Amino acid sequence: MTILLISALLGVILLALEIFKMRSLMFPVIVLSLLGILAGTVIDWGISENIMQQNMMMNDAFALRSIAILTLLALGWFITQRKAIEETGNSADLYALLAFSFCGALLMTNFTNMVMLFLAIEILSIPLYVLAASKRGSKASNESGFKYFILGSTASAILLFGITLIYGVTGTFDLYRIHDFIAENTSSTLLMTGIGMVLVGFGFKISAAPFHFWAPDVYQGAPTPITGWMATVVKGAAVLGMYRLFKGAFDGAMPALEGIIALLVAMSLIIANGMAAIQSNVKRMLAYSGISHAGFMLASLLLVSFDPTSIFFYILSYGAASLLAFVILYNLGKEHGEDLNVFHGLAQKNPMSAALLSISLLSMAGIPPLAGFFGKYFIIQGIIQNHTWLAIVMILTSVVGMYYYLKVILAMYSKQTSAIQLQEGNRWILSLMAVALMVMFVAVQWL
Amino acid sequence: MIALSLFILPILAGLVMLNSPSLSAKRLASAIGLVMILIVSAAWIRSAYGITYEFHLSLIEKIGFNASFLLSGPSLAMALLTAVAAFLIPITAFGKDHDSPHRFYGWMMVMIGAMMGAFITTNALFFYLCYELALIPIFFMILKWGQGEHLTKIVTRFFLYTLFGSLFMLLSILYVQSTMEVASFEMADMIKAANALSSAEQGWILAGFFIAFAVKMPVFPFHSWQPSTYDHAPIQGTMLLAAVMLKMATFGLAYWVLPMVPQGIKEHGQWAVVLSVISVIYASLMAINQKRLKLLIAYSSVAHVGMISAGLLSNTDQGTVGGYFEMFSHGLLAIALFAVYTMIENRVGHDKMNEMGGIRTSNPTFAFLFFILVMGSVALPFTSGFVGEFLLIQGLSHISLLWAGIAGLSVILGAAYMLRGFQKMMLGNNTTPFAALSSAELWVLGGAVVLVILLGIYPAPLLNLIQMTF
Repeated sequence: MTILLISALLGVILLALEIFKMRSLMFPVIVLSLLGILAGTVIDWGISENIMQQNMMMNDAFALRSIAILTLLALGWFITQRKAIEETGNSADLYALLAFSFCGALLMTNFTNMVMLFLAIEILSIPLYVLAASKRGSKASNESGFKYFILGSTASAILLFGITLIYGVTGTFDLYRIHDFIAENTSSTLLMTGIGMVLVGFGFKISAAPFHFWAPDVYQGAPTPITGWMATVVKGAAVLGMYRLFKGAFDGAMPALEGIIALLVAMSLIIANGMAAIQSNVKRMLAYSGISHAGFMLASLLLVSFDPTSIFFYILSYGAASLLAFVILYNLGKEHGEDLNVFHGLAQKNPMSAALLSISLLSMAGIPPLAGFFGKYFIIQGIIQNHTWLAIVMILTSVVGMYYYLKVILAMYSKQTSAIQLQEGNRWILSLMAVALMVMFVAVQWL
Repeated sequence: MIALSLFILPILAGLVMLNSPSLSAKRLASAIGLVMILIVSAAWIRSAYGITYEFHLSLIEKIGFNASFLLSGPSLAMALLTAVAAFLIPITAFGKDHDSPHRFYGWMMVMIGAMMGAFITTNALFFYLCYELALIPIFFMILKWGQGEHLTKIVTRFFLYTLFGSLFMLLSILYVQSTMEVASFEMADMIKAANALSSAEQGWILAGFFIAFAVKMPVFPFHSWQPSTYDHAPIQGTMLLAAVMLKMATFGLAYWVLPMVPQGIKEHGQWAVVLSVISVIYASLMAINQKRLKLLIAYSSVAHVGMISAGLLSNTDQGTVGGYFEMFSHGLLAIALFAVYTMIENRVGHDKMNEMGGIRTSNPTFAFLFFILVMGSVALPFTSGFVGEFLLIQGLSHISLLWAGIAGLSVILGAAYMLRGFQKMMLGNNTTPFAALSSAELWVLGGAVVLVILLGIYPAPLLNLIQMTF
């Protein structure tokens, strides 16, 4: 409860700080609140009983771990993007919107009621529509916000429709009762339609193919820090919500859904990696690569047991690598754009940035011993027995993935001369994150 | 701890060197190589008294991912080769320095550490990890210090190709592991689980491993990345590739695959032997056609490695022992021959063999030392090459006299291309001026020649070491 209270109040407090002209306090307040939430999860870490709250949500082990992971990512984001946010001049609005969106993200992980789920998704998404369009002068940013709004609300509508159908069949919003109902009657067509629509709605939210068409435009158009936020915290929260819903409440329907989900995963991997390989804009390429990572995360639904360790680790590793990549992309992009051409020879004058970006990209590509390798490893190991063909698709597409990540690294270390000199920002935090990517695999045991 | 230090020392040293421009990196790298030689030698001597060094640290308990090292038998032999390479390769710069040498040798030490890890670990996932990790340093070394117009293209092909291959190894490892009740990557468990599989399954597992190794070695038809990569890489990078890195593949075949899937090799492994033998003949014929020394050595390396692979796949004691021995001998010869190339390139300015001649007249010492190395490479008796190739062909003859005979042709072909190359450059009427050898050059060549002859006349210590686990 404390956790939720802190996150809900954070946005309000930030707005109040703006009114009382105490802008300089905003950042410390955010960091303290996030640390508070983190401490809250650590205190309850080993709990055995599940604390229900008004039959609406529950802080069980899954929720606590999810909250800890999302908070860590958010903390990393705020610390690395502080400069970018404060440079915009309207940091108060942005901070407050981000805080609200973060609150929605946390709700996505501990709901036990479909109404709560819908509320969580909307709290998460609505601030994002504004944030995506927050670069007011930029046409691309406005287009991004608009597109995101239209498609996001369509997805919400489909999701809501699905929820309604499920309610129509089961007569309840409560996940436990839905779970029991499905266990007894799996053959209801209407119920399966409802679940299918929820799947489609979530497919939009996590940008899995073939519901991914909005993602490249939105990611490319939105201000880079916001893209980073979408790729890490938002995507992570949506996947975790999906995991809770499908592996928990809809468990009984999973045998019927497995084929479809495997197909979605395969399509995401093939389309996204194929498209990413032909992009010349690095930000757009990362958007496509994000779709392929969404495919991997979606594949976690195919794991045999409920054990969520692999999805936790994947979100953490992909999130940390993305944060690093988007920080450097922002430093470069604000003056020079994100085209692949500007990366040529970048390493000569900015060895630090180039090395950090390389580590982050290599991790995303899944080169051992970086965290991304183990993320992919756990997923592939979990599905190799029942879905061998999907494991082979994963492995083959990851070679394509390696190709386009390599293009950026090759460009940075090529021998062309480049005059670009970046402000490298907070070296220590960034290096810490790079080191974290190298040793993160040890953390698996604590998840 | 002794075992761990072999892995961690070069990696830490490499990371420090990468970040400290003021160090004299070349000397430091060589010194660390020397320390590693001492550590390995100590372990070798103590192993004679039945003491083996082990190390075990559980990294991810849930899936059985451990850092477990064991210094014994073949691992120790390969560790020695790696240490020798770390010691020798910096010396072969011969006074010519790279720009930002601290980065070059820093990457080199990281790579040495990764390869060392692959040789001494007994955990399959750790082996895979090191196998992949070794790619990253050499990738940056070729990219930054290589020459040629299409460098990025070559590096991309090299990197993606080898990565692509090794993913099949990961699939094989995962498949074996998924049949276990308690997840483990430890060698004993992997062997037990794989042995329990049907011979058809074993055949598929062999296929996964062999594709990975065939790309790295390389074996025909997976070799297309190799000549251009060897050609455009900085020469010390080429030495690392030829002397140590491709040994990870042959070593993996001997150390992991042979004990894991003996049935699969026996019943479904013929195609791999055939590919290896074709590779030997193909590479020898290609070598005969080469006009440049560097490419000649590159192709001769493919031929030798094909021979190792074919001999190992016979899965006989002779084949295995000969394979390990030849790995060591070929590693040594590769460093020495590429060092010869460096000396020629430094003095003559190119390596086109047709445009040289009569170097023996201007520098007989050099020609003499080079000649012994050539003899080692063509496997003349009383050189180290002979011991290895003899055992390999003998092993191969146990499964098929025909293949043994065809592979044996490679010795004749080898003599043809090596001697022709030698004759063009060293003999003849026109005289290419060739300055006297510096003391460093003399030491490297002299040392290699002594080792080649010593191992040829008295191979027993190394053979005993290799056979220790049998």
